[in-house]
Amino acid sequence: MKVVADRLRDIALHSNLDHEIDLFGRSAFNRYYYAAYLAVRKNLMEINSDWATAAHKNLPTILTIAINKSATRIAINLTKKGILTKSEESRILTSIKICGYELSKILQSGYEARSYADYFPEEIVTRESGNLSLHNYTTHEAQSWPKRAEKHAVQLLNIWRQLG
Amino acid sequence: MDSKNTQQFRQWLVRHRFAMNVSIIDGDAEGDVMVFIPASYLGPKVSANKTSTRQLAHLKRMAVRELGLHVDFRITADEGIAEIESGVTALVRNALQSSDVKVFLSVSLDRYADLWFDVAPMSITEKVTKEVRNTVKDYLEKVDLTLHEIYSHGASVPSSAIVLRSVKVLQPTTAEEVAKYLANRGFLKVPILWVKSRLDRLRKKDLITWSHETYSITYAGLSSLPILRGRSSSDIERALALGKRRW
Repeated sequence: MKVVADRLRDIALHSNLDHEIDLFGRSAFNRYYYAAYLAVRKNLMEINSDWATAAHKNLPTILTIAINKSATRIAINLTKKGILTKSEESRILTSIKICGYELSKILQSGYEARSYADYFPEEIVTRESGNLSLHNYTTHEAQSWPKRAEKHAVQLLNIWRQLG
Repeated sequence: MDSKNTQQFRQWLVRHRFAMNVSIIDGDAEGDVMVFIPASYLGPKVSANKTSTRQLAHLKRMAVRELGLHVDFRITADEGIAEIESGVTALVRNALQSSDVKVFLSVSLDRYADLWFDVAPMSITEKVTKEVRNTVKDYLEKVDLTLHEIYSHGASVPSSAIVLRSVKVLQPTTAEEVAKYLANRGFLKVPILWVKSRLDRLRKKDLITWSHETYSITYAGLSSLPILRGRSSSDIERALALGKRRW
């Protein structure tokens, strides 16, 4: 998906026509968001298959609230049975919280950019020194969403695995 | 050893008369490569021993077009950047209260800096991450760099819960098999003695049994593990492990 986004961005960057810059540019933002979303979804599926079908808008809430709730319930139970120490429990829960928060921030930005790209044609994509801008977002930032999402999602899954 | 992508890219660079001694590694995603270029190799114009940001940007575009590879050129430590890196290392060590943590700074062509340190993500608390970010961010801004992302790429020490799960999945099993399972799941490679002591601790809590040199899970152990839905369920993993086993 990121390859498609990069190609769309390149077409927009090299076009001399304003409407092409706008149309290819906004599609690039859309694809960058989806690349990040799919990276998160793939790893969330490993944790809870129900979350894989969640609405896009709900994913940040799942990442910051639902996942913390599930992890806390499991961790407290493991600590009660003496399998985890209190400090292990606290480290796991804090790490899950940090990763979930980072991921939710990426998805929130991506979702907002994608909404502007898809539903607000009056917001025009502009080109400036090798970068495309839409609303408050640039392709420089959008390009990093998939990689950052993948990194944090893998880290989240690895920490989740500590819960057994 | 170079992977297929890095080899191909190295040869491609030579064909494009870019004959500098640079490190090339695979990126995070398939089809991504990262190239580390010492800061001293960069000049305002391309010459015998120098490249320029313009040439790198051109090579980046060409690599996508001709090889389908996405190249991330990173400017790395030497001279100026080495000084910044040692300054950042001191700040990170102070924040993490650890003198042996290795810090690596990589700077993109547009002066965005990524910071990597090799400590387990589990050992970094929210407070420490914030502290590192704030201290390093201010420091980097003074040298005209923007802090982009902080990564910690160490593997975590396995918890007792994952050791218990490994016994459930592999039983009847040995400490050696448990150690191998943990390493395959991306945890820190731990010595067999460490695994044996963890298993012994679980046995003393009546969560597993030990007989004829092998470990098996007890009912108490089974009921202690979380019941999860989806691919990460230990029940599914156990069923798959049984299917693969040669009896």
